[in-house]
Amino acid sequence: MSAALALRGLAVTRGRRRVLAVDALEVAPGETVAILGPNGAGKSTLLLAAALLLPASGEVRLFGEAATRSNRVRLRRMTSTVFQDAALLDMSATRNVEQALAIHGVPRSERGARAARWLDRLGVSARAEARPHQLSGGEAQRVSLARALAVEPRILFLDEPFAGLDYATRARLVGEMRTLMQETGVTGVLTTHDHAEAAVLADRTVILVEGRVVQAGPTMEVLRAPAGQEVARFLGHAVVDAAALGLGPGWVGVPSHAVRVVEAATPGAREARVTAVEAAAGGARLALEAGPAALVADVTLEALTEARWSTGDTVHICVDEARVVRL
Amino acid sequence: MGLIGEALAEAWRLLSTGDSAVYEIALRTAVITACSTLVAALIGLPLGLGIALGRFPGQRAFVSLANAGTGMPPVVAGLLVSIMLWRSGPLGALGLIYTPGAIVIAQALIATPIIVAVTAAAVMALPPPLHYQVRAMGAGTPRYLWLVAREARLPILVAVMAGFGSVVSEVGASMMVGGNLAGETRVLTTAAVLEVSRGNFGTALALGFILLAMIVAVAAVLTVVQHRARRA
Amino acid sequence: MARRNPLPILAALLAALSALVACQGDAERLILATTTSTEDSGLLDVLGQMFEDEHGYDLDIIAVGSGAAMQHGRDGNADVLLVHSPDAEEQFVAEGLGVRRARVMYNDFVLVGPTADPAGVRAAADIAEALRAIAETESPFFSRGDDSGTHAKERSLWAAAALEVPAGQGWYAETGQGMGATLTIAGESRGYTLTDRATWLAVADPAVLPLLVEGDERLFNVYHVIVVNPDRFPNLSLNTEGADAFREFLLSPEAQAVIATFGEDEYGAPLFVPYPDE
Repeated sequence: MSAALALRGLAVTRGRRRVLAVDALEVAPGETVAILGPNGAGKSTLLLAAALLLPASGEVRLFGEAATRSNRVRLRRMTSTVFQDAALLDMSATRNVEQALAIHGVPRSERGARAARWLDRLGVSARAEARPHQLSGGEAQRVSLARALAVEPRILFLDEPFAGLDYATRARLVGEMRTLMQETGVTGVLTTHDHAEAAVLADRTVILVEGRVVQAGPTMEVLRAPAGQEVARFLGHAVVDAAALGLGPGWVGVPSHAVRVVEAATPGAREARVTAVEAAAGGARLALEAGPAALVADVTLEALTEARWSTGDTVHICVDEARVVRL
Repeated sequence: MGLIGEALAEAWRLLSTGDSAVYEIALRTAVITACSTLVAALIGLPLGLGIALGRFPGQRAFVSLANAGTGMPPVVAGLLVSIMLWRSGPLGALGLIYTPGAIVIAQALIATPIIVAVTAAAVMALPPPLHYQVRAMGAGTPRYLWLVAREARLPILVAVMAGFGSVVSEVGASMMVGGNLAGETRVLTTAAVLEVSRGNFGTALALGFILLAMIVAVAAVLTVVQHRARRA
Repeated sequence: MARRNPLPILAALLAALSALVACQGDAERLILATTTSTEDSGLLDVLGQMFEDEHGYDLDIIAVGSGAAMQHGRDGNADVLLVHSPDAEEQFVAEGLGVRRARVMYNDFVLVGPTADPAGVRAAADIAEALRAIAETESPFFSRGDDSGTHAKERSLWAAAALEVPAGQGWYAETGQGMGATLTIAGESRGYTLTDRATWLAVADPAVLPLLVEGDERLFNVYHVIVVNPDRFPNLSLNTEGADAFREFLLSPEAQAVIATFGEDEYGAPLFVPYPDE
């Protein structure tokens, strides 16, 4: 069986800068692949080339069929795309969904009911008659998702669809999308800079840095075992000389949850100096200096409130060696 | 003060008694100008979309050309059309000079660049994701163009209204190519010029009031549409 | 709310006003309302320049139809008129609006039309017969229709031909424009029109619009100069002194000499004939 999506020899240059160089990337039918990378890594360029079937150079195949000038519009109708900007047309939510159905040749008599069903499934049936500027960011993105799914695409492209949303809205919508994608069995391609989204939604993850694929594999493996310092740094690990932690030669990645702040008397505890206090999802993080090693430690809000750490304080930490990644 | 008072009184008399000659000229003006605007829109909207969305060499030059064309002086448009339509001109055989058709051609020449320039600017100002989105939805070219034009419909409406406003109030081109023939090509502006030269300032003022009323009516329609669009 | 300081605004107004005054120049302004036919021919350019050089007035020439020219006189918007609508002029003087009316010159009207001459007016004995032929054959005729002196003359000629003015007939079109534009329209549309000889010589191509009828006494066109009566406009401070100077100048031998030869170089024939009141 041929891949749902196959990209080959994709290359994009802007001026003299190479923004994208992907030799090969395949997405199997039914699976969801996350393209994970920092801002400016070329994720959106990659997704746009795939979704619009317009590679500057190279080839895009959908279910074995190579995109050409003549079949491009027909092939696009096998897919749907949701962008970070909901990009709703200036008409009611219902009409937006109906417009997509019309493009896909759904008879007029069926469009209304189908649009209503999908708006309901995305939880925005109450906003069916609202125009785009009357919708909140979350609602607009839900309408955009309903529009994308209503046409029953075989591939769903999601280009940072949750990036513009506030934390709570985003968390809820990501969870709902996981269910919807499992129920519909649609093949998914998601770009994101947030590995939590990749973890919830994607079977496989491809890490893109400066336009190149630096790692690809099942999402959990990629997140647990970053291949190289670049990936580890992107995932938020502190990359340090292993010798500084007494772990022998080479480099290791230390995720923030591997570092715990402890009592001075705790066995194996080492001294560290606080260089910064940072906010993190659901808690806070301390940037630390332990000898030559710069580390990051997750702390709870309760601990932060109680201890009132600030820059320059000395704390004691333990590093959970089981969670340290050898690079 | 006496002259102004007399003129105002005369204007009021003509308007209130429904002077048939004055209203006939007003009606003819509305019809001719509407035709000009329609022709200009039929040419200008596709051209504006094409310039905004096409990928071809000299695209920027076309935008500049359209922008420059928005300042097309009516007398120049009139002269160009006259040269084409005079018996000695390349299109003289059509026999259009000094007909309403000639005015429509000249006025369309004035209004088209306005509609092209504003349409192109409006479409180019749409957010890029919208273009990607419509294409990604699998819209073919006609539907793509339709949806994009629909998104820019308010500025496009403004463009068409601006085109109407510019031709309804121009006098140079209508005078030159229409000839100001009574009952045939005499429109509000050329009639007003004539009445001033005749010394009938009251009649001229009445014609001017009707002209103003037409422009105000168009502006009012525009305001209502914009207001409704904002509220909906 | 802060009170705006009115000083800058006043200063700006004052500056604008003084600029306006500066643009007016030093010379005393004299407004002449005249007909498009004298302006189109270029005669007034020459005479106006001579007058300004000699008398130091700043002569503003408003060239409009005779009707509008008289109206400018009626409204006190002009100091002096040079017009050719005898009936209206006489009434103007009779009403006390104009004084010291004097004959200056004349030119003549001619009937011009298409080379093919579908109405056969070349064979007509006089202008009345020619107009009757046009009406009978319903050949296209272009009237100025602008209450100008030429238009007034044309109306009087229809009357002389014992016909109603055929306004509203399909073959009779009113251009509502000056003589030059009307000649262009008549030429393009292969129609007849009544024109003063001067404009016809200056504007028309005789191959397209040949002269068909001339020489009838009823076609003579006499220009008069009229000084607008200052007593009727006590509030307007008309430049009557300048108006009289201009009147005297037009009747002077040197101006009359210019009139006698004007147009010979360019058109091969003088456009006007001197005809001063003694």
